[in-house]
Amino acid sequence: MGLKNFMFKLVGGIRRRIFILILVLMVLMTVAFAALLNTLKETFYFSVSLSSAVQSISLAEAAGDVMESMIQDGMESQVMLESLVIDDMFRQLSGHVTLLEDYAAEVFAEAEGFEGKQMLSPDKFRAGVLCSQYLLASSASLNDPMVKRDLAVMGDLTDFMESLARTGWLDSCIVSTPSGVTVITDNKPETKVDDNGPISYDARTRAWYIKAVETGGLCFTDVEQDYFSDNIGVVCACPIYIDGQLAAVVAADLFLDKLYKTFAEFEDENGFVFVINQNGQVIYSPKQSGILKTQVSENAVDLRSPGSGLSAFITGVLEGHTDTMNVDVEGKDYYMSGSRMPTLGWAVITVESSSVVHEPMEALEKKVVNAMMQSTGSLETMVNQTIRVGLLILSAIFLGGCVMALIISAHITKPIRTMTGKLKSLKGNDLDFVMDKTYLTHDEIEVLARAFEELSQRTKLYIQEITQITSEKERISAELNVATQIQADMLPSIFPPYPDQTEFDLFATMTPAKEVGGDFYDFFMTDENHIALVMADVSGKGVPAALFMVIAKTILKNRAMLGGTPSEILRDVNMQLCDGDRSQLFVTIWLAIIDIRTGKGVAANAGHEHPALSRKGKPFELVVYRHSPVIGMMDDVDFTEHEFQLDSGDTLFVYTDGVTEANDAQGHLFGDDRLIEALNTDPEATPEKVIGNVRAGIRRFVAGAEQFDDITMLCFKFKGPDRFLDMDELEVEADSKHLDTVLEFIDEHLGSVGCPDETRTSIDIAVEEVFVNIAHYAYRDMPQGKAWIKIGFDKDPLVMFLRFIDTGRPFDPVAKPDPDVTQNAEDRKIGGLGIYMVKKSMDSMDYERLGSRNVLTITKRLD
Amino acid sequence: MEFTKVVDGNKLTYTVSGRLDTNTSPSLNDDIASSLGDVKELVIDIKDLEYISSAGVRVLLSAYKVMKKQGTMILRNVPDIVRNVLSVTGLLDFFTIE
Repeated sequence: MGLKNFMFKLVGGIRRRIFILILVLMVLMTVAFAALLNTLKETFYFSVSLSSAVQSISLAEAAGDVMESMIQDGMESQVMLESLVIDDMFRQLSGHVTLLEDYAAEVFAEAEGFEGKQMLSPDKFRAGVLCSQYLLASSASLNDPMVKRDLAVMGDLTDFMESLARTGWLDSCIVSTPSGVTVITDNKPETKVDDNGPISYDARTRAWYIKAVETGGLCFTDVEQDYFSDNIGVVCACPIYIDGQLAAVVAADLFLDKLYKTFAEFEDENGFVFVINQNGQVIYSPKQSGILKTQVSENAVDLRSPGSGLSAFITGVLEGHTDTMNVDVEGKDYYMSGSRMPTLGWAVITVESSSVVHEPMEALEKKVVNAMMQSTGSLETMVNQTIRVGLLILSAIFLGGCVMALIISAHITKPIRTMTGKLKSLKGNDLDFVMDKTYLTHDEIEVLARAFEELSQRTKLYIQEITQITSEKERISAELNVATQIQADMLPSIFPPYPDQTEFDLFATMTPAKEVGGDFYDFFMTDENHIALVMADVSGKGVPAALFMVIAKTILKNRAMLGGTPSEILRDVNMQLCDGDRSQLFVTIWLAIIDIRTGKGVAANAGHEHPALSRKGKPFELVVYRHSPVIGMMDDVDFTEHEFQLDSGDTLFVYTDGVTEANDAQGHLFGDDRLIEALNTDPEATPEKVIGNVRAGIRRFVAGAEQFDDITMLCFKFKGPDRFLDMDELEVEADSKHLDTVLEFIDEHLGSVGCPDETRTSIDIAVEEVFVNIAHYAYRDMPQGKAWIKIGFDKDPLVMFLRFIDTGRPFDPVAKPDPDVTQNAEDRKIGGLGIYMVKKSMDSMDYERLGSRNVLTITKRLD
Repeated sequence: MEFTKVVDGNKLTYTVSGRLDTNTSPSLNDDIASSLGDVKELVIDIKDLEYISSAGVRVLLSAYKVMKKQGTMILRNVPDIVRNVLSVTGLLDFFTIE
């Protein structure tokens, strides 16, 4: 809450709006930017990863392709090399055979000329030694001269044959004649010997011999097993014709184990080499089973046949194609590359399982992909970092933007805020709004400021004027208040007006409608025994009426004090008022002069309301009679008067038309009837109470409506004269310190009538008790009041009359219960004795509450 | 009003003369009240008392109430006027008169 308040104080009002606006814009921009960034990032990633994928795939593919072709090339080269190597062996073989054929041909041609070199027969003891051995077919014998001749001739060949064999290019040399003699040169003589000696050997049955004879020229056999050993080999043979006749067949044997060794070198877990002959039959293969196993037989499968699955490839190879092909052999995927060996028409085929190619390819692919991924990975990291940095920068920009927003909003709203602040601080009468350079914004704010300035100037002027007018009014009002006060003071308002005058009780009120009114009442003693009562109503209201009222009242009183009857008085008053009155105001007056000793009165009514009268014990009634004209209209007017008699207990009530014409909200008038009704609420009540009843009645009737006219009332209750006429009076303050004065006064009178001392003392005591009572209790909680003591005597018999009058609170000492004089002294209360003593010592004690006065009358006979 | 007093051990004698009214009674009353202490016998001689009002009667009554507890009280030389007043108030019989 406090934070909110603080925030509000910090950035409030319009400024806050602008600030928020800018903030929202910034947020939107930031969000948009962030979204854009993100989209870019995503797209970038996507395309990068895509392209990298594509790249890696194509790269991998390319690499794979390259690798494949590399491997293929390699394979092809390799196989070509291998075939060359192998072919070379066969070429060498055929070359050597040719040499042998040449040499042997020469030798056989010169057959006669040679002496036969002694030929050795195979000797097992010469194992490992390169030597020439002769073997005979079983059908041939040494006794045959052909045999002998052939042996002798071939003996010349042995050196050559041995030198050939020593080249290493062949494993054995053979020369065989049609006679069944064979000379073999090799290093395994032991193989030609068995327990019975040299074995018989008929070359003419051998494939090479037959093929050579059939071919008539250099030829190669297929792979066949050596007669003398387990070795597999190939024989190259060539017939020798002398004069068209077959003289011999020379041959050389090359075991393929070398080949196989060579081939084996090429073999590993992924690849191997196999050799096919010109018929597509596998003559060498490391495979012991399956379609590629070595088959040295006539039933060997011709791989060119369609059933093998390699037909196309094999056929192609045998035709000389060297392309690498991807073939499927018995479920395995291979690359095969073959190379034809021209010498034999065979082919070497090198086989690599495709995994050789594929593994590195895949590895490469993986590597490429990894590299790609890594690069994209690091790219991603980089991008993320960049984005993070970007966001950080954004945040900084945002914060900066906030500050900017605050500043901008402050700047924009500064004139308004200054103005607002200025206006707020204008207190009370300080309305000075002055143009400030902050307001010169050349926009509505400036206009507003200027308007305020003008407004404040004008307002100041108005206030000045109004202040003037108001102070004028107040002055007038104050003066009117003073006037009201003066007017109020003019009307006698102290009640009871003559406290010691117990002949009557009197009360009056005037309630003005405006501050100063035109109604008035008056009463005054014209002389010792006469009282004048006045009730008057000036026409109009306000100051004019009030002024006229003052004049009328003063003139009336002055005139009345000079004596005369009401008629005379009113006539003179009228004359005087008409004389000076140019303002057309008039006044109605009811004037009565009453003798307070007798109750006899004379009254004149100049246009005024009918008075109301209540005889003792009877209700109020209006006293209706003909009025005289109002005063102030015409100067020469006579006013009629009439006499009346008041008896003790009679009450007179006079009023102005403000009473009867008091209206309620609907405009109904109070009227005479309601007045009488209100008066008769309690006709026997004191004048004050009677007036109170009428006021209550009016108030109830009017019920809050505005008072249009002055409401003035006077009530006079006649009591009657005192018991006897000559009473001397002492007026003192009701304080017991004046007791001596009082007793002196009493004693003086008592002395003058010759009162006995004892009686005098008793009377003194009684007076003391009464006076002290009055002093102590009458004005309790009231301002210090007075007491009047009247003393008079009746003669014959001599009776003293004492009267005590005070205007304090009602206290009837007579009503006080007597103290219990039978009580024990200890139990006796201290108070209450005094009055009891008075009662006991005086002849009579009478109390009367007269209006607002306590009147106690005591009598005592003195003689 | 004037008064004199004589202390004799625990007997106290007042002699009062003049007027005992509402203004003069308080001083006598105060004096008596403060002097009664351990008085066993109070004598008030009112030979020359010309006047007594209820205020004065109250003085006597107060003294009487106190002395009733601690001793005796005697009114001496009671003038007629006082006698009348005491009689009217029914207090006459309570006081010992000489």
